[in-house]
Amino acid sequence: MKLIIPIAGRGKRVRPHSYSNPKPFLHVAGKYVIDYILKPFLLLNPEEIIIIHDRYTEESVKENLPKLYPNIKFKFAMQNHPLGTAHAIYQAKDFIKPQDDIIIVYADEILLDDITNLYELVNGYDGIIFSREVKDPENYGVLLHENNILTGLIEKPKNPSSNLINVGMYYFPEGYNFINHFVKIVLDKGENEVGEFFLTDAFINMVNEGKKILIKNVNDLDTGSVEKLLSANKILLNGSVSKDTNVTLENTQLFENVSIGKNSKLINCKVRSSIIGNDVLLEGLEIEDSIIGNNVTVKMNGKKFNLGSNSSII
Amino acid sequence: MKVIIPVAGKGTRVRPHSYSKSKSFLKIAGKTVIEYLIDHLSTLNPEEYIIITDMAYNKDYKNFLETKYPNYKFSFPIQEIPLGPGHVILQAKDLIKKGDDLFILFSDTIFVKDLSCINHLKKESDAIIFAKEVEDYQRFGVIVHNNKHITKFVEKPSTPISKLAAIGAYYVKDGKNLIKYIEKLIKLNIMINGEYFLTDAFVLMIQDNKTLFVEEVDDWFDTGKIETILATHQKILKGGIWKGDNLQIKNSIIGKNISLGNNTQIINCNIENSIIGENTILQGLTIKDSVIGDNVKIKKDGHSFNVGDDCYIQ
Repeated sequence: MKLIIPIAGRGKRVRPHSYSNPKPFLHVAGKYVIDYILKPFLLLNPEEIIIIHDRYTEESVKENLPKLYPNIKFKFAMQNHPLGTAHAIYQAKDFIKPQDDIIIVYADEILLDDITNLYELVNGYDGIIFSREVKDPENYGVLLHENNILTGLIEKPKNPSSNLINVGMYYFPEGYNFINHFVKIVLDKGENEVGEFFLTDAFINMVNEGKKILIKNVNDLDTGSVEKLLSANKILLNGSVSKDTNVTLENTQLFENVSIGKNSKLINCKVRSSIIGNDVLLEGLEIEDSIIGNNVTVKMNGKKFNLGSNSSII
Repeated sequence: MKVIIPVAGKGTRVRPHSYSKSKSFLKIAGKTVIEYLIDHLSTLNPEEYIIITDMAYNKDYKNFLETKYPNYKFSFPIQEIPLGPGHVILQAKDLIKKGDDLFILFSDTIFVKDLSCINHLKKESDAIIFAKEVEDYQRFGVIVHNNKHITKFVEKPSTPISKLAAIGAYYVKDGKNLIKYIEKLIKLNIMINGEYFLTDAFVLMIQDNKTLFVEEVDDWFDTGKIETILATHQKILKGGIWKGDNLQIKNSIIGKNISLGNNTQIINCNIENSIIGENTILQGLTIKDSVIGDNVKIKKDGHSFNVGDDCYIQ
């Protein structure tokens, strides 16, 4: 099995943190986002993890992933222009051989369920799309299904007949065929109205050729915005506190759902529901629902500000 | 004459601002560093401006400069691997034709000098190295000369053998020849800490009996780190204030040497010696010696922090 993870884009909804780190290297609940993303898939022993990066994320992923996971074989492919999800996945083409099954997972998605039964689950089907139920399907691309098998996809339907949307995780036992045939058809057809190639069009191609794709509901966490990252932090910590090595607390109270990175020091602080990075110094502050990056110093009543774009203290 | 401005580089010493934009896009008194450089060098009437960027920001420079200066000719070669100031000039190799003289300006440097001096200085020299006397000569590479003729360069001297430091601005009469000297440097593997320095190419020229002049500039502003950016800002504003469009200033004291970007709101604040970006809202704060980016919101006693890497309030 090979895992394909696109890690591209500027992460506009997680600024300012995404200015200095690609989204998978943001802190959440005592680890990096990528640690939680990979966790359920590592149990399936992937032979290779293929990272699709762009020019913004290239240096960071090539430098950091092998360090974090020295025992995993990583391959890297560049997506030169942001031309959509099918175009991104297609960059993995040269790494997928006949006989390879593939899992595709987007770098905002944390899967909370155990999927070690994946190979039994897919038995008889041509693929699996992982889904979740939403209360407002009219705002999403909705999965149409019959007996849990995909029949079609509608973008933002006015009268939705289904409330299932795709989570951004897929499994294809015939990975080579998926990429070289179904995804290729999408690319050969030309860009859509927004100038991009969508992976969901590949699924429609599969349905049109009589392929059976199973839709499976899962529990997942989206980490694609500051609010969602804080929410994920709460759910993953479940009330507790995570402190990395060499954290110093002086006259400081930590309430629920606090994650603190290594070498950080908090003096006269009260903190709840927050993510604090590495090498941080905080003095005299009350903090809640906050994300503070790495190497940050904030002293109460400080007058010298060195604050990057898109920061806020409100 | 062709102008070469290398703008590649991470700008580690101007973080966090260099996370959200390339360091030459930082604004001082409402104008980006790159504009200060180009406006000054336009007095030379160059035939072409060669802006050497890294991969990530190449398009940003192209879009910005071609829009801002539609009548100037630009080229934007890319430096893929950072191997020092000597090596970066090589990326312009194919753009330098026989007979081209060059003005090379490294992008951390705003300087004051009437460049018409080149017209007579070039008659008797092969290159002109612009310099300024500094007090802390031990930090710099200094230039030893005999009546303007450079005899040697000394890195970080412990005694004041000379206090003239190269500021990062150079005129070279034969551009193609300079390229040959840089290539010789690489062939001879003359590196310091994994980088090739332009100064070492000049040393090779001196060894070949070329004539190099040193010429002192009237003033020199470094934009390479936060403290010197603020000092540069002071020198440019001379106690004054730069105001963008559509500002809202209520019940605030705006002191000396302040830049306020477009659409920014300052409410109940006391500000001195600071650069504030665009679309920023500051409420109830005392701020001095500060650099605050764009789209920043700070309210006094705010509890919810969204603060990126390498920020400080102290």
